[in-house]
Amino acid sequence: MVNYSELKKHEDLLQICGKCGDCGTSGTQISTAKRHVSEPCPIKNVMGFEAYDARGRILIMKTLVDNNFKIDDSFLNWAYSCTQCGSCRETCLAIEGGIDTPLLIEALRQDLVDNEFKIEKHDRILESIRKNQNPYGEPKATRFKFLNGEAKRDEAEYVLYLGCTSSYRQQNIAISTIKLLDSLDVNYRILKDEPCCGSILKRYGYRDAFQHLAEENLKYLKEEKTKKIIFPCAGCYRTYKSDYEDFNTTDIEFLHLTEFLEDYFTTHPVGFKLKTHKKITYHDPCHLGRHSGVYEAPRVLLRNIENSTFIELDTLRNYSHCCGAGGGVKSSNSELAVQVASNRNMEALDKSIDILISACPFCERNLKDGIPENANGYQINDISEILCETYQKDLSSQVLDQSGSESKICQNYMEFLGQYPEIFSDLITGSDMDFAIYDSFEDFEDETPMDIFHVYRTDDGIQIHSGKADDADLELALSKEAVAKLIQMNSKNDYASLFGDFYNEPDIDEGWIDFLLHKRTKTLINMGYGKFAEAAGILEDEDEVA
Amino acid sequence: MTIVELNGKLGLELGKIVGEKNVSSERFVLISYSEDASPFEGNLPQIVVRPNNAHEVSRIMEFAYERDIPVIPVGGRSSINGSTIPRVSGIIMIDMTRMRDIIEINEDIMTVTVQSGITWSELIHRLKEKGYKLGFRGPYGGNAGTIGGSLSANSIGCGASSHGGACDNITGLEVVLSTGEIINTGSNWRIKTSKFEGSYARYCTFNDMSGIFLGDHGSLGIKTKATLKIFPLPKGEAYSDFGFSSIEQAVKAFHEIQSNHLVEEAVMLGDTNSIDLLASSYRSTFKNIECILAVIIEEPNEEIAQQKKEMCEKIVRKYGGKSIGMFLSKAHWLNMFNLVQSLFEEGFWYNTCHIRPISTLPQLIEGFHHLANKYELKKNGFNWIISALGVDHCFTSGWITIFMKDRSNKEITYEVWDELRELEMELDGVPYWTGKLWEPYALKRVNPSFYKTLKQLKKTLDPKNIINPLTFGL
Repeated sequence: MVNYSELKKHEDLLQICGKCGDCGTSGTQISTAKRHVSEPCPIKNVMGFEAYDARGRILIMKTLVDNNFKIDDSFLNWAYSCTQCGSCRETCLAIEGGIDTPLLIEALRQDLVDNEFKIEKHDRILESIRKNQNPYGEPKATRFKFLNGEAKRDEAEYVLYLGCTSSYRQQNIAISTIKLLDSLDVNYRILKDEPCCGSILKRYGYRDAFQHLAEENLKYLKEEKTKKIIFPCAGCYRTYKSDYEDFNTTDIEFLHLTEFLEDYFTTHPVGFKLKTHKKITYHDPCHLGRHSGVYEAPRVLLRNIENSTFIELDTLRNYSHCCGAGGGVKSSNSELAVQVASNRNMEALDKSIDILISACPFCERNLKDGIPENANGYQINDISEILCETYQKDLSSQVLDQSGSESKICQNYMEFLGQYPEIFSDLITGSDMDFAIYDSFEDFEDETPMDIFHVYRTDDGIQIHSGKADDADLELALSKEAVAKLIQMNSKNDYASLFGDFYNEPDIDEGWIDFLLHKRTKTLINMGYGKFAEAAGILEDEDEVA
Repeated sequence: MTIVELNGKLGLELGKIVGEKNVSSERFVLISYSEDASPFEGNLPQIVVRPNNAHEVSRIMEFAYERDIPVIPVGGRSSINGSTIPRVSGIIMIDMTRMRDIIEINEDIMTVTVQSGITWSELIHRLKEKGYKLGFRGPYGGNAGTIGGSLSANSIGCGASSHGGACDNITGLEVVLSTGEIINTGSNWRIKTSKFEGSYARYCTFNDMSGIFLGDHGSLGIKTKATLKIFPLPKGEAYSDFGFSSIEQAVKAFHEIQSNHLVEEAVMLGDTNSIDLLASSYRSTFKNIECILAVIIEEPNEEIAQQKKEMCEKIVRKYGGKSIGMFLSKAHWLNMFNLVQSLFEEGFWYNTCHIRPISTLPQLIEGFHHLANKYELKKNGFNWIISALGVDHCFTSGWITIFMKDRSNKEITYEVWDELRELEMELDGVPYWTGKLWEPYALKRVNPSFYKTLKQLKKTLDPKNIINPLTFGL
């Protein structure tokens, strides 16, 4: 009898699934709202059967807990066929944030390992990490051989943590990251005994081995007096930032390379230019996007590359399709991983993309493995490579000044809202809403705003930031005509009255306001958006007005 | 050959028809197909097969017919009535979701012909790209729900106030019979000579053959294609939410709006508990509201849409209601297939969806409140929602769902659930779909002559009773 003690800890999650099937839907887009969900489970998209999407997996796990059926090799292969990408979780509306199927799969794998149902290859990887500090069976001593003894070791503000994959397999990423940071005169060093982060152990279900490694790694970083770490690897970054959270008592700041660069270029001159014009796109790595909430930083950087056109894929940000490598699938079932990657590449090829850029060595490698045969000239790059290749010092006269990139009307609106923080006083701390200004209603339909900024509710007021929020509660869409009139108002009440009119009596020419909800209506109301709507003049009891 | 003897060979034989990758009898795969979105349980299928076209379905049926093997066709399995759960052992489950092509958008006869495994959400988006909409848009589970599934289960949902349910919106079908023969209904009854792929008229020449297979819960044949009506996308839209201080007022306004055919959708939240559940701040913002009616209007231009909105407002005021903005109706419409999911956290859902005359709603709601008091539902940690949707021509689909948060209360849940369904049938309600949800309640009330005719129909079309056996007790 197998003991599913880990899975049982999450029985509530298993029970809350209403079996609606959204997580495995074959639909092109879920619902009529503008959620860019499309066939959300990358594994079901290849395997076809219900068992491979979250609804099927949850039902199977529920049955396991209740009835404990026999485990065989075929079942083990199934258990390790989930990339834990989290796309199903984003799609799911049963609870805010969605049912965490990656967590459930991890619990199942822990139970399987605890009950000695193991895959031999996984054990070999565990041994390699213990012995060599990398999962690839490579000698520990050769980790930085490719740097020819030139790794910077002197005390520095930042540690550059290259990770096992960039050190042993995708060395192109390590080299371009180093070159880029050197070009920018960043004060960094590389740890002499950089350890494996252990991400793969956690995904395989080796809970105890992972925890032990995490504690050892944090101890080592503390001894090294590390304060800030830059990760070019999205996997290492997520592992340190999120998966170590339960054991981490340090105050080390973990930054993905893209986060570091976005911040760096707000105070240092920036300049990137491609030699010939290319259509580029960005593939959100699951480790960086869905699991860490970093969506905007890479996009801000890529949009700054001159001589390129940045095009979004149809599934993007939190609804982005996985490359297929995650959750140990690349090492457990490489053929499946490559088929998933091929599907993702087809999405880019359908848009005639020249270069698909990611920010994770696993994505880069697997997407390269999955390039379809007829994809002439199509290229996959890591973001460090494209930035390194296109960086031009002579173009670097200005820092990233996003506030300057907005239209005058947008700047005026941001300034106007700054004067009336009480408009947002009913929202709970942490609320974050995008304000998108549209040139026309057609642009709203096409989701191409002329300007976008977001208002973040703090404990004691609001912060207004340029650009889209990483995880906005909703988008407030306004026509430029509406904004032009709203900013003329001289009081909060006049503003609310006009705002309500634009929403309740929209007019294409005179002005209109609309909403795109990114969270569940019920959740938004609980966050105070109902009261916000009341204060903004959208909801008004006519009896009281009378 | 018996099923047991066939066990080893079944996968191989079916694999020859659909390709081995599209057949599975792995235990974990069978488990994943063993339930739908209802609380019901049933038998595991013996094998799951995923055909790609009507020809493959036909060959599967020939194979099953020759060997007396039962089959069950399923779509997205988002149904909440238990109709896609196998009632017998040894069944071949035919997962139709690989059959998802749009065969033809015919702008001449304004129809779309699709393979029956396409989901409502995909079809809506594909049509929108071409400037068209469907009439009935799908059940509330339309992200995963398929056209074929809805036509089998007679779904009612989005757009039903104006266009009726799923079955009201088709002009023809392609059906594979139990023997494997393929027939086309509607104007496609002829030997193929027409340039049109789909049927352009449902009622013509002979009896309405489509109707035999509509609402059959996948028990008389396997629908492989369907032709549905399409309409130009609206150029004028309007939304309105109305608050009422009593259910009686609301029902009068609801009836008048529905009988005048003014809206694409009219949906009502039937008590304060339902309002608090979906729109928690509303009762503090809007004083003295006991129920809410939300209407969505879609018209060829803005002027007509606004005129209809004004007509609705006038009707509402006549019955003492008031306008309370348009946030709910807009959110309802824009989140078309994502409405019920946010309620899952209240506990598993025990629904009682059925249809009834609009005028009977107050009596039903009163009856339910009596049950809620009797079983102390609130005290016992239950929640509920009472909703009613206008359905063309002039009735409503009543939606009372109980959410069981505490699983130790299963006994109470089943008692209330049972009493509620009995009450709904006694108060002039009729299930629009049946399945395990309603079958016992329907069968004990069915007219013997009606049932005898149904039995004869089943025997004629499925003489070996291999398609979804035991459905409707047959």
